[in-house]
Amino acid sequence: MDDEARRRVRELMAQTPAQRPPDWVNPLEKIEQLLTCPICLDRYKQPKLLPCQHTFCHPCLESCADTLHHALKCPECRAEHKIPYDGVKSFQPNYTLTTILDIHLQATPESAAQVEEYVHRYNLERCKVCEEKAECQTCPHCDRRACEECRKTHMDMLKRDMGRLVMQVKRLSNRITEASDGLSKGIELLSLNCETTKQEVQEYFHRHIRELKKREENFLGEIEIFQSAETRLMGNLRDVLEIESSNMSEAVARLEAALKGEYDMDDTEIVRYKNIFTEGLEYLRNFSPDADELFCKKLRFTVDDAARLPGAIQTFGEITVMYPGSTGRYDKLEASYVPRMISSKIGLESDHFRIRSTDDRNAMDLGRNRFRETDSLTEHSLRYRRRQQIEEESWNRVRGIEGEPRERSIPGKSPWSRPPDETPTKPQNNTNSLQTTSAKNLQVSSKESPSSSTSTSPRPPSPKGISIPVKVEQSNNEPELETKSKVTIRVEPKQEPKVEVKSETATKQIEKPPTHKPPLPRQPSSQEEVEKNENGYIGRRSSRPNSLLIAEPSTDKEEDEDDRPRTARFRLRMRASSITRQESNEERETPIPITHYPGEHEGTPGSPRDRESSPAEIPDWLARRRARQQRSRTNPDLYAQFTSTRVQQLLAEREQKNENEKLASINPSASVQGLDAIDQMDEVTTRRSGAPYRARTKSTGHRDSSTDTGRGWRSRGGRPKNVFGRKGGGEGELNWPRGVTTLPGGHVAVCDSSNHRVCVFTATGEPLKTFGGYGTGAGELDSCAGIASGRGRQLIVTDRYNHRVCVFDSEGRLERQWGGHGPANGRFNNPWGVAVDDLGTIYVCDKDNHRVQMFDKNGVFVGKFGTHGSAEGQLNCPLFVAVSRINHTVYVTDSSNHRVNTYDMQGKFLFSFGQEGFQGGQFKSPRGIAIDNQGSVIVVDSGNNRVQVFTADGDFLVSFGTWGAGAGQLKGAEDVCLLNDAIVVSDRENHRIQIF
Amino acid sequence: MASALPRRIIKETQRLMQDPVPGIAATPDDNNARYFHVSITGPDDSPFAGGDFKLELFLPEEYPMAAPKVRFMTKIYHPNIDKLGRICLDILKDKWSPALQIRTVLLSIQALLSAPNPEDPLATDVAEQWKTNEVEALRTAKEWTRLYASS
Repeated sequence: MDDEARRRVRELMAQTPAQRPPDWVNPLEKIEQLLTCPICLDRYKQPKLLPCQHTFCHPCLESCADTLHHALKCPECRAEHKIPYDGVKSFQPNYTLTTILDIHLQATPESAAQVEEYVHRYNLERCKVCEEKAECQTCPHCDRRACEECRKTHMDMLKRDMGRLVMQVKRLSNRITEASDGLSKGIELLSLNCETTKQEVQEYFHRHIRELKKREENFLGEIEIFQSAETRLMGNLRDVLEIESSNMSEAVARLEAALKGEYDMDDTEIVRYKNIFTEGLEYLRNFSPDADELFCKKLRFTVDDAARLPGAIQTFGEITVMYPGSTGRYDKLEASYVPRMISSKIGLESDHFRIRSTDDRNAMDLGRNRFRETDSLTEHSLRYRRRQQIEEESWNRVRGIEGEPRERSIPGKSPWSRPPDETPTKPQNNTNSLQTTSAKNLQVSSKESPSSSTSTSPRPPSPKGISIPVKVEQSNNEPELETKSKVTIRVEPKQEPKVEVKSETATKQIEKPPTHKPPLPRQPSSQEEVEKNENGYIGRRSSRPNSLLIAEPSTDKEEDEDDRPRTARFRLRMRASSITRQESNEERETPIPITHYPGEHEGTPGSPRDRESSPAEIPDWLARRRARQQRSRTNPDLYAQFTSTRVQQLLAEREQKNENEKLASINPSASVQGLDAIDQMDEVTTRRSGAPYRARTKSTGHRDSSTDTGRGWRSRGGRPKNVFGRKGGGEGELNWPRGVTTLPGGHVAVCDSSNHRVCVFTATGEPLKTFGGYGTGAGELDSCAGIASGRGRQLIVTDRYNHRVCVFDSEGRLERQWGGHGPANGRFNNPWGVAVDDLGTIYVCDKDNHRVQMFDKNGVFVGKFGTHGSAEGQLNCPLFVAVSRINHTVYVTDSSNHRVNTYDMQGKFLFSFGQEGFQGGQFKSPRGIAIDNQGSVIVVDSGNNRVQVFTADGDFLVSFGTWGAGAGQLKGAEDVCLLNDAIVVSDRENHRIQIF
Repeated sequence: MASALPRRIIKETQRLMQDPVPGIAATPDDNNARYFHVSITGPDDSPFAGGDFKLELFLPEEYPMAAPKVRFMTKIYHPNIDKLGRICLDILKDKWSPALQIRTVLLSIQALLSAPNPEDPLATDVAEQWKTNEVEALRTAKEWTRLYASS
């Protein structure tokens, strides 16, 4: 390096000054120049300083002095100076220059070495600690360049600190061993626990299989008894008849022989025979035994509800993983007895060294007065940091994130087990994968699912026959499965079988390691959500035959907020979907839509309401049949009969006739009919069509709706009139459709959430246009959920993971957007459903903030209502919202409370209806909600895979839909809207839209 | 003669030879070390661009207490330079200072070519032309450069 520099300098010196680079200056040359007199261009001889501060040789000055005028013009600046009386020699000598000139630089190897040493020392840097020039090296601890001495002191401090640290680590190291001991104990306990749980499950199932077997034997026994009794009866009868027959033929033969004269018979005998034969003939004439009664008796095995038992078997049971109540408490206890030293780094001497020295420098820079300022400043910033920390902590707590210190002590993540170069992200991934594998293991262990389903083959009951009711009362010693079914030989319409199946939940308590921290914005905070989320979907698909829902670990929020120990629950829900049934459904395309009527449970065939609304529509035989069909809800064969094309045709014809008659009486133009719903939806259309016309159509609409609500969907008995969409990302394809809304002109807009776009279809399912696309930019979406059509053909879309609301015009151009993540007013956490009222106010379900926010049409926050909880008026994950035009009430599906809450337009709570359950009027995670033009409330009861209809006051009217993939069946239905008189349902997990 | 040559002149000459000013070449006469053959290239931004002007420079006995004598040998159309090549430049006259050198003098002359000063003329007719019809004057200067100063 030195040699290189020297060689280069030599080269430059050899060149003429002009050839050298302009910035290159030889410092020695520069010094030489400064020692040169500008007049003689030689070294100064007796340098004299002029009053103008320029210096020249005494002889040179002598020669340019104007002795005549006793004046001297400075050759540099031309300033005129008076020459002193004594002459030029009296000008002041330049002593500095003289002393410099006295240094006689002689280039010897020795002096060169000296100069080199001097230059080296001159170029030394200053120690950052003691500010002295010295040989400095970077201290690896505080990352500053310091001199040997300072480094040594520092290292000594470090060593002392390390001694203390080792002590402390040693003292606390038993925690790890304890934990590992605890884990091995835990593994044992876990296997024990799993074994016992397995045994429990097995025992449970064995018991029930035994019960089933017993029941089967009972049935078989009954049948055998019946058979033997009947056989005996019939055999006796046959014997009697045979004797009769032989007697008769004997008498005939005898009489014939007598008539032929083969043998004589006396008169009295003839008379007797005559009487006998006359009577016999009469007897024979009358002998027409009821064939059915005598030898067409049939035994039939029917089950009241074909789907109930398999359905119950599929859905019952649940394995939950629960933390013991003490989880998390450990941390807090710990903080009290762990020595402070380990957690507070400031206690370390060597760190103090680092801080002190910087502080010293600060103090030096800022001076005494400023120091106080900085002091207060740091205090302030500390206070700020504290506040931020608290906020963050509470935030994390709400979102169920592990706190900072906990995360640091994730098992297997200690600094000792970390390779020196590895970043801390990697171990976290490891723990994640570890967790998933553990989840997988659990999945495997709980895979033995109820597969022992009794296959019943229901057949339509014979209409006629001798009835021998055989009642089989089972002495059930299990309270859960309470079945009461009958073996009937003739089904009497009065009989009302009921099947009550309650699911038994098997809970399981397993201690689990702390949960990992999911990425922030997309973090699903409630279990409900995850369960229905894409991940869950994948999980379900992967283990299809007896699929298993793996919920992400989530924390119980309420408890958490109260600072009580957290109980994170893993919920492994067994939802067996018998693949055979599903497939057969798909093959046959036989839907099993069922209409429940309120009177059903009282045992009256066809509700009064039903009769009222359509008195002449249903003939008696059909009413009976329908009643029967309702009882055996999901009997496909029955349904097939019921929905045979002929019946459908008849129904349609009848309906058409009624409609035409009605129309003819009110309005001669039949085409107006369809407009009523549109008319209410879009003022523009009606305005265009002219005032008188509008008035007329309006009145028609009102009249119609008052007499004949939901005529369209109801008459179809839960059979969809149109189904469209399938999984995919192409045109006309959908991927997890969520929100739906109707557009003016009878189109349907769908939030195609996992394609991150909005699709518009015609009522027949023709794709019209799509817009959106994944992203965070303007006009881009990330899992859009809710959609509503606002005034002026706007589309209001909630952009769920971007935590904002976007307003698009009818062409799909972004008009405005607002929101952002957070709990403040006007910000969202997972906004879901959206609705618009007549005034243009936008209602947004802010799901994970557990509230509904109201905005004006420009997106200005105007109000909010609902807080987190399950009390009156509180919300827990509100998903969808609808506003009734009839009674100006806001209906919110309060999904995790399994109810619908209603509020007035100012957000004042009015009432709620529904609770968790599967009966009519009960909910399981209700989602979409819509209000028809009569004020009826249509709720998507997503967890029960059905659509329920209520009155405006929340009285249950009717429901339809079952689980499945066929037409009219639903899987994780999401949202609902009304298209004229039809109900549009987004069938999320079937990736399609159904119009009922 | 050589013995009388002051160290200053020797040094200046050495420096001029070693580290010449761009566009200026000054070589001492073989017979007289106080006599220099000078050649200045016309500055690019002037009408004398492309010209190669010959000058003679003589250092008088009093030098550096007296200014050197400089004269254009090449004919030049310039308001401050007359027909005989004499130069009207203050530092060559009353403003001379012993701190000035040959190098600085020649640089000043080069600068004078770039910035003719018709207010302080030596060649009055040229100065007149320069003041009344500068375009024509510049044209003439260029023409003369082409005619007389092109090598």
